[in-house]
Amino acid sequence: MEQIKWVFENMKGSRWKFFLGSFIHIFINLPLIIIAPLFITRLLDLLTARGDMSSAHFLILMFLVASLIRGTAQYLVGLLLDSSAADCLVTMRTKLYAKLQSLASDFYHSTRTGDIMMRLTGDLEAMRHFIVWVCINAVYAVIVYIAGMAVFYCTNAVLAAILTAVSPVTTILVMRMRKQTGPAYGRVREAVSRLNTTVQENISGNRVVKAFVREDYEQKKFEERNSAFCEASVGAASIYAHYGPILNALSNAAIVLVLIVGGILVINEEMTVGQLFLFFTLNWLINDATRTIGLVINDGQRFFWSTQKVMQLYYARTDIKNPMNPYFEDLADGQTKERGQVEFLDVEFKYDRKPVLRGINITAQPGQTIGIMGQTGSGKTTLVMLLARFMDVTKGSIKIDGVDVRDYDLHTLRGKIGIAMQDVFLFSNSIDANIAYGRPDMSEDEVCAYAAMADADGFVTHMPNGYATIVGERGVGLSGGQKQRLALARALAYDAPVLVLDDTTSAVDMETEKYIQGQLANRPGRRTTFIIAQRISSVKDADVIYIINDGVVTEKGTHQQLLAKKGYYYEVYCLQQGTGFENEAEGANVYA
Amino acid sequence: MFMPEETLKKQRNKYDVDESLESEFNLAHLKRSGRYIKKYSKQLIAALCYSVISIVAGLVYPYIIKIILDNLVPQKDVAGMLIIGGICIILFIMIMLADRARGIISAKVGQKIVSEIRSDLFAHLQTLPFDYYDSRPHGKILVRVVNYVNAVADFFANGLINIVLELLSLVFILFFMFATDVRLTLLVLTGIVPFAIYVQIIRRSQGKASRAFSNKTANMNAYFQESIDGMRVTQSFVREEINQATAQGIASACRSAYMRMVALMYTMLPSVLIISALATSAIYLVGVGHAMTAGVIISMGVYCGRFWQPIQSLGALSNQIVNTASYLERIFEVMDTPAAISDKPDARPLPPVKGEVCFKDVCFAYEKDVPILEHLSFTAKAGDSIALVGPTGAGKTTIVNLLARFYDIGSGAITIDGIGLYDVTLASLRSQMGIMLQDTFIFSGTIMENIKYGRLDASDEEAVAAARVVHADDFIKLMPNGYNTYVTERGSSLSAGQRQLISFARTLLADPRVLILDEATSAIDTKTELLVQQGLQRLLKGRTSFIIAHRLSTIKHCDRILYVSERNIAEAGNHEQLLAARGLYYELYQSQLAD
Repeated sequence: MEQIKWVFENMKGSRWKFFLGSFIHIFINLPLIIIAPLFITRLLDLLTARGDMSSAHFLILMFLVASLIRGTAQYLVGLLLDSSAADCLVTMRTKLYAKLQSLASDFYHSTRTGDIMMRLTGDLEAMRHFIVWVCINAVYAVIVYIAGMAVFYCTNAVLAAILTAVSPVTTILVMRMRKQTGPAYGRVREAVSRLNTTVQENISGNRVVKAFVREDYEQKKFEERNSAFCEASVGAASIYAHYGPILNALSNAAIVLVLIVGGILVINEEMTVGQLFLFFTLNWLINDATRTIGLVINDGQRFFWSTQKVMQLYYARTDIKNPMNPYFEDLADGQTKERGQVEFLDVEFKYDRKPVLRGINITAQPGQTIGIMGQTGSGKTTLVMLLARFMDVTKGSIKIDGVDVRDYDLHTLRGKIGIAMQDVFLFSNSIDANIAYGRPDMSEDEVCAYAAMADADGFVTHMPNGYATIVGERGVGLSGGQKQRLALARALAYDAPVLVLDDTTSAVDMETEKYIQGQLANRPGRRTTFIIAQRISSVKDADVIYIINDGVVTEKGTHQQLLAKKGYYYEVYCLQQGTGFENEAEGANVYA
Repeated sequence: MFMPEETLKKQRNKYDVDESLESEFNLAHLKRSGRYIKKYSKQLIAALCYSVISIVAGLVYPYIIKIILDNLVPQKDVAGMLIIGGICIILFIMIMLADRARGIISAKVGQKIVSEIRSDLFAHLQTLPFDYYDSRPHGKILVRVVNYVNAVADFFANGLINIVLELLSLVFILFFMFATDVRLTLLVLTGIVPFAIYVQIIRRSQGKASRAFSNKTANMNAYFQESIDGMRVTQSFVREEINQATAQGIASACRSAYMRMVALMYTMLPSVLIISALATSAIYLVGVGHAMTAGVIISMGVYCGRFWQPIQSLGALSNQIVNTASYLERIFEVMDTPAAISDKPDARPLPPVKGEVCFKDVCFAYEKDVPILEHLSFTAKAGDSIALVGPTGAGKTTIVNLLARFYDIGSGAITIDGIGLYDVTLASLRSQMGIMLQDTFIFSGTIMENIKYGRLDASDEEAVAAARVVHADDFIKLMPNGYNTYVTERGSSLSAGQRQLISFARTLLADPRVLILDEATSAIDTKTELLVQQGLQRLLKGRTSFIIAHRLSTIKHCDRILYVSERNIAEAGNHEQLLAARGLYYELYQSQLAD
C-alpha cells in the first residue's frame, strides 16, 4: 500500500487528470456500455410486439447519441489516464535521475548499471500500466461485483447466498496466485537485469571479445541468460494462465448451481421465472468482475514489485552527503582567502575493513605542485577520491583552505578541484562540449586555447569535423593519448584552484608531455597541482614528491633530495633512464 | 558549435539525435518474422484450436441454460436439470483446460520466438565491426537487444492467434449475415469503407509516431546509461544541474512522443464504435422504412453488432501490429548491417605459426581522405620483440589493429610466416595472437573468470601461474576472497594498474604465438613493470611480440624498435643503433633524460 501512496504523491499536478479520467470511465463510460444497447433492445421489443413504431427514430437517434458520447468518453478516458501516467513517469524519471546524481561511489560500487536501468525503464512501465489500467479496473471489478450482488440479494437471498458461498474459494485462489505472482515477477526482473548486464558488457567489451575470439563463449553465456529470462517470463505468465481459467470456471459453475437451485425454487413456486432469468442475464457481471480481479491482482503484483525496486533506488542512502551546515565559501565576508591550500592530515582510509591508506600527511601550499608516485594499487587514486569526497576518510582529515572537505558544500568543494581522471571517460558528444563540460558557457576561443594547452588542438583540428567531432563513450575512436589529452583539456578548462592529474600523460609521448608541462608552468595565475604518475619525467619538477607504497608515505622530497636518498624514487629513476640498476649492468650510472 | 550542422560529415550518433531510417515505414518487417513463427506453427495452431474449443463451448453454454429456463423449469424436470447442470460443469472444465493450455502455449511460443530473435540479433552483433559499436552510444544497441525484443513478445504470444480468431469469427458472421439478407449485409459492409479509409490514413501517422517513440526511448536509454557510467566525471565537474535539465528534457520528449502515439491509438476504438453505431442505425432505419420482417431486422441488428466486435478487436490489434513493426524494423536493421570483416570463402585455418610478421606496402585509412598509414613495410623475425614508438596518434595502434585484422587494409599485404593474413580464418588467426589493448576491460565476475577469459579450458593453477608471471598474484591474494573476488567493469576496488595486470594475465594465459601489448603497462609502476618483463622474457622466448609504450625502460630491451611517424616508419633498429643514428629516437631518448 505504501507503494500506491508513493506513486500517488508523485502524481502531484496531474492527479486531476487521473481522477477526471477515472470519473468519466466509471460514471459515463461504464453506464453507457449498458445503456446504449438498451435503446436497441427497446427497439427490438417494439419490432417483435409489432407495436407503435413512432418512437423508432427517436430510439435510433438516442442509440447514436449514446454511442457518440461513449466513443468520446472512451477517448478522453484513455488520454487523461495515459497523460497522468506519462506526467508521473517524467516526474519519477527526473527525480530518480537527480537521486542518481547525488549518489556516491559507495552506491555505484555495489549496483549494476543494468539494475539501475531496469528501474528507470521496465519498472516504470509497470507503474504506467498500474495508473492507466489496473486502478480503474480494480474499481470497476469491485463496483460491478457489489452492484451485481446487491441486485441478486434483492431478488433472491438464497440464490445470492450460493453465489457468495463461492467467494471464499475464489479468495483463496486469488491469494495463492498473488503469493506466486510477486516472486515470479521478481525472478523475471532479476533475469532481465542479468541479461542486460551480459549484453551491455558484451557491447562495451567488444574489442576484448574480438581480440580473444570469444564470440562463441559470449554467445553461450548470452544463451544461458537469454533462456533463463525466457523461462522466468514463461513461468510468470503461466501463473495467470493457470489460475485465470480456474477462476472463470468457478464463477460459471456457481451460476449453474444457482440456476439448478433456482429452477427447483421456481418449480416449488418460491420464485418466478423472471427472477431466475435476471440471474442468468446478470451473471456476466459476476464473471467479468472475477476475471478482472484475477488480472488486477496479477498486474498489481508486478506493480508492487517494480515500485518497491524503484523506491529502493529513490531512498537509497549514500555516505557522502552534504553536511547539515555546509560551508559555501562566502567571499562577502571580506576576508582574503588563501586559494588552493590542501592538507592531508593523518589520513586513514579503509575499504572493506582493509586499510588502504594510513597516516598520510601531505601539505600543498597554494600554487605548489605535488608529485605522487608509488606502486600499482598503493592508494594513489584513493587520495584523489578522498580529496573530491567521492569517499570519506575513516580517520584524520583533509582540508582545503583550512576547511575540512566534509564541511564544504559538495558543489563548492568540487568546484575548487579540477580532476583529470586516470580512467578517462568522455561523453558521446562533440569534442568542444566535452572540453567545456565543466564550464558549458565557455567561448570557442577558450575551448581552443585549453585544447592547445593540453596539446590537443593539433589532432582535433585534423579531424574531419574538428571540434564538432562526436566522440564515443569512453572515447572510443580516439587513441589512449588523445583521450588523455582531451581529459586534461577538460580539467584545465574547469579552471579550479586545485588541479589533479591522475596518470594523465601515461599514454602521451615524452615530447608532448614536456610541451604540456611547459604550458602548465606558463599559465597565468597560481594553481595547486597534484600530479600522480609512474614516469619520473612527469613529477620531477614538482615542489615536493611523495612516494606512497602500501598505503603509507615512504619518501618525500624534491627530485634532487629523493635521488640523493637512493630509495624507491632513485631506483625507478635509474630504471627509467635505462641506465640500469643493480643487476642490470649496462654501463656506469652516470646520474648518481 | 564550431561548424554549421549541414557542413558536418557523417557523424557518430549521440543521445539527442534520433537514429534515422532511410526506408519508409512499412509492415514488411512482420513478414520477415515469419521465419521464426514458422518453427512454432504447430504450437500456434494447437493454441488456436484450444481457443476455438473454448469459444465454441462458450457459445453452447447459453443455449443449454436457455433449455433449463424455457423447457425444464416449466416441465418441472429436476432430474433433467441436474443432467444438464452436469453437462455444463463438464463444459466449464473443458473451457478451463482449453484456456489454460492456450495461455501456457501462447506464453511459451511468444517467449521462445523473441528469445530466438534476440539470440540471432546477439550472434549478429558479434560479427559487426568496431565501427558499428563506435558510431553510436552503447545504450542504443542495448535497447534493441533487450527492450525492443521484449516489446514484441506479446504480439507473437497473443497477437497472432487473436488476429486469426477475430478473422475467423468475422468470416462466420459474414456467412450468417449473407444467409439472412444480402442487401442489408451489403449495407453493413459499406461501413467498412470509411473505416478502411480511416485505418489507411491513421496507419501512416501511427507508424511515424511509433517510430518516433522508439527513437526517443533509445535516446533516453542511451543518455541515462551514459550518465550512470560517467557519474563520477559529472559529479567532479559539478555538472549535475545542467545534466538534470537535459535528463528532464529527454524524459519530456519521450513523454510527448508517447502521448502522440497513444492519442492516435485511442482514436481507433471510438471510430469503430461510431461507425458501427451508424451502420446498426442504418439497418434499422432501412429495415423499418422498407417494412422488412421483424425477424430479419432483428437478426441483422444482432449480427451487425457482432460483426463490429471483431473489427474493433482487429483495430486494437492493428495498433499492436504497427508498434511491433516499428520495433522489428530496428531489430532487423541491426541484422542487416553487414559484418565488415568476414572470412574469404576459401579461407583456411592458420597452421601453428612461428611468428614471422611481414607488412608489405600497407596503406590504410579509417576514413577516406585521411590516410593513417602510407606504404608501410617492415618485417619482424619470428621470436623478435618489436617496439613501436613515436608521437601520439602516429598510427602505432593502427599497425597492431591491422595485424589483428580488426580493420581491413586498404592496399598492400600482411603475412605471418609467409601466409597472407586474409587467406586464413579470422578465428584461427586471432587465437594465435595475444592482444592486450589500450583499454582494459574487466567483465563482471570473479578475478579467476576474468583471467580464464584468455583460455577457457585453463585450470586454476594455470591461471594463477599466469597471474604470478605478471605479479598480479601479490595483490589478488590480499583481496577479501582472493581469486574468487567479484569484480565489475565500473566501480569495483581495482586500480587502473591492477586492472592492467589482470588483463595482462588473461593475455598470457591465451599462450599466444604473437603477443601485442598496446600501452599494456602504462598504469603500472616501473618496478612492477620490470618484474613483469623479467617474467615475460622467460615465458615469451621464441614468440614474436609487439610492444607499444612511451616509457623507454619498457622498450629499450626490444630486439627492434620502429619509430612511427608521419604515417610511416621513420627509423628502425635496436636501441644502440638508433641512438647512434642520432635521429628521432635519439631526440626522444634525450627528452626523457631531461636535466
